[in-house]
This record gives sequence, C-alpha cells and structure tokens, in this order.
Amino acid sequence: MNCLEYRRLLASDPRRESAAMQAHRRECSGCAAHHARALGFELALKRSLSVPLPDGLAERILLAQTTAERGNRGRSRRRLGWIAAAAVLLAVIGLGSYQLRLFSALPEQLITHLGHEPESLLTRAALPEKDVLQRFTQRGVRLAGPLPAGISYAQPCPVGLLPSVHMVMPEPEGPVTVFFLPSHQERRGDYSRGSMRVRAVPMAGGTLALVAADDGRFDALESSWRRSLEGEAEVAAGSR
Amino acid sequence: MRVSSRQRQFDALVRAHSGDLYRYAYWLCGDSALAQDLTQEAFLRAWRSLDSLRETDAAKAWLITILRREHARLYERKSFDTTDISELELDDRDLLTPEQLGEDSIVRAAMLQLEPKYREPLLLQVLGGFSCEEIASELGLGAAAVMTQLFRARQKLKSLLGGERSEASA
Repeated sequence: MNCLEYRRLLASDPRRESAAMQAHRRECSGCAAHHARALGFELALKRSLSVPLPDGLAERILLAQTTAERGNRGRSRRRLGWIAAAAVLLAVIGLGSYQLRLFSALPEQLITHLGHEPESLLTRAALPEKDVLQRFTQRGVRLAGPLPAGISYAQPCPVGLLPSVHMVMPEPEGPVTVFFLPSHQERRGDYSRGSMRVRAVPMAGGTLALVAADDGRFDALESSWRRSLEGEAEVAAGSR
Repeated sequence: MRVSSRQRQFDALVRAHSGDLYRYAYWLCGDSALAQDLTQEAFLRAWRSLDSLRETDAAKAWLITILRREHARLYERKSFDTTDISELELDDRDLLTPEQLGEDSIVRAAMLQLEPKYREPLLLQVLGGFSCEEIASELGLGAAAVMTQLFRARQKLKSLLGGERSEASA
C-alpha cells in the first residue's frame, strides 16, 4: 500500500483501518501524522454535528405516541360499542318478533304448530289407548272419562309457550287435530283462518281446541272430549 | 396501569435513538423545529410497524430508513426556506471554549453548504457510526461509490473550512 492509497482510504472512513492500512501507517511517519490529524478532524466534525437536543425530546415523542394510541383505542372502543349496540338491537328485534309469534292469538299459534308437525296427519291407525293416556299423564292431566276412539297421533307439544297434548283424529270428513292445553284458559269461540276452522272451548281447567278444514265433526268431538276430560256428571250438569 | 411489552420496547427505542435521529434530521433539513417534527413522525411510523423490527442491532438503521423516507415525503409536500447561516443555533455555549464555539459554528455552516449527496453519507458515518457497506445499503448505492462520496465530502468540507487550517486546528 502506498501513501496515496492509504490517504484515500482513510478519507473515506477514518475510524476503520484495515490491517494493511495499519501496517502502512506503522512504517510511514507522514501517514501516521496524517492519521492523527484525520482523527482530530473527525472528532471536531462529530462535536460540531452533535447539535444540542431539544429539552424533553424523547418525552414529547412518547406523549404524542401514547396520545395517538389512546385516540385509536377510543375510536376502536366506540366502533365496538356501535357494533355491540347494533347486535343488541338486532337481538331485541329478533326476540321481539319471536315473542310476538309466541304470544299471537291461539288460533294462529295452533295452525302454525300444525305446519311444524305435518307428519301428524299421515297415519290413520289408532294408537293404543295407554299411549294416549301416557301423554296426558306427562302433562299432569287425569282423564275423568273414557278416551274418544280413533286417536292416531298423540304428542306432548308446546304451542307457542303453552304446553299441550297434541292429537289427531282421522274422521270421515278429514282429520281433526285436537289440542288440550291444560294450563290455559281461552274464551269459547269459533274461528276461521284461511281454509282452516278452529274451535276453542274452555274445559277441565284448560282449553280444548279443535282444528280442521271441515268443522262438521266439531260438536260431536267437543261432547266426546268433555266426557273424557270432565266426566259424565259435568256434561250432565251442562258445564258449557 | 399495565404497560405492554410493545410499549416498553418502543419507550426503549425512543430513549436510545431519539437523539441520533433528531440530529440526523436536523442535518437533513437544517431546521430545529422541522427536525423535531420529522423525528416525531418517524417514531410514530416506527410504532405502527414495530412488529417488523426483529433485531435490536438493526433498530438504528431501521429508524434512519424511516426518517429518510419521512423526510423525502415532507420534501414532496412542501418546499422549505434555505437556512441562513446566521440563524444557526448554538446552545450549551458555557461548555465550550470560545475557540470551539467559533470552530463549531464554521463547521456547521460548511456542513450545510455541502450538497446532499455528500452530506448524507457523511452524516450516516459520523453521526450514525455506519460502515461504508451499511451506508451503501441504506442509500441504495455501491460501496465503492459511497467511499468516493465520503472521500469527496471530506475534501469539500475541508476546502470550505480553509483546507489545512481546520485539519491542523482540530
């Protein structure tokens, strides 16, 4: 390495000397002096470039960052708040509409329930009497008289929020669906909903409801079920 | 209040490097207030992408890169007044001898007269402590080109300072 090369390399990076540069400097007093002057210049340069720092620089940066961060979090929280409020509102609307359906008038609830169990109308074979009685027992109802004959379907079902015994009786005019709602008192009435006829009769502390496309058998079935639910004496006394 | 590890890392980063970053920003733009803004903006950007910082040793170079980009962005947005040499601030004067004060003032003025292509690698080397290879990587240049720029930067600076006078008095 010659002096020119040494000084060129030194000027490009005075603080980093390669082994070859160090070897040259040890043997060349001119370059050793040049090296000392170069380091002095670097020292002065660094000192001059080290302008004073503004007071509290780091603290102000951290303050700006934490303030911005809190603002972002606040915005995120507000956004989450709106989302939660919207979710609650949707839930309320959803629950409300469900509740409306649950508390709608009994004829609508009965017809809606029929739509949920279309299979109830498929069979015509009569169920064993003990199976039907068991459904009544499940609902806490003790019959006072004999069951009407020919019940092809019997299940303990909720109609809306009301417990019931849901039955089907395949009559010659078409199937009649019979509900007994033991804990619900409905006023007597005959209703028409589309092609369906509904009769509600207060009976035995609950309500008997008959649902069918043809109501020709309603009177006869009402009498039969009154005998079953209230017994001969009640019927004789004319509890209607 | 519980401080997250991310926040602690950022605190440490600010306390360790805000001084170097401010000085680098100052010599990029020549204005103290603007340098503070640049430094703050660079750190706020650093906070947002803190997860991309994997190695502690790379923190300074990472921050310098962010600061340089921020400076470039700022430069695109608005034009700045050129710095008047007479407006250069000199604080903590009590700590320096009159000779040193005079010397620093002259060196600073000369530094601001250097073209950015010479000033920037010199700043990275003197203030940042980066090697020629690291500067080359930061500036997207070849190592040989950086060495040439550094050589010329010192030559020009010495020339502005009066050649041998400054070297001898340093």
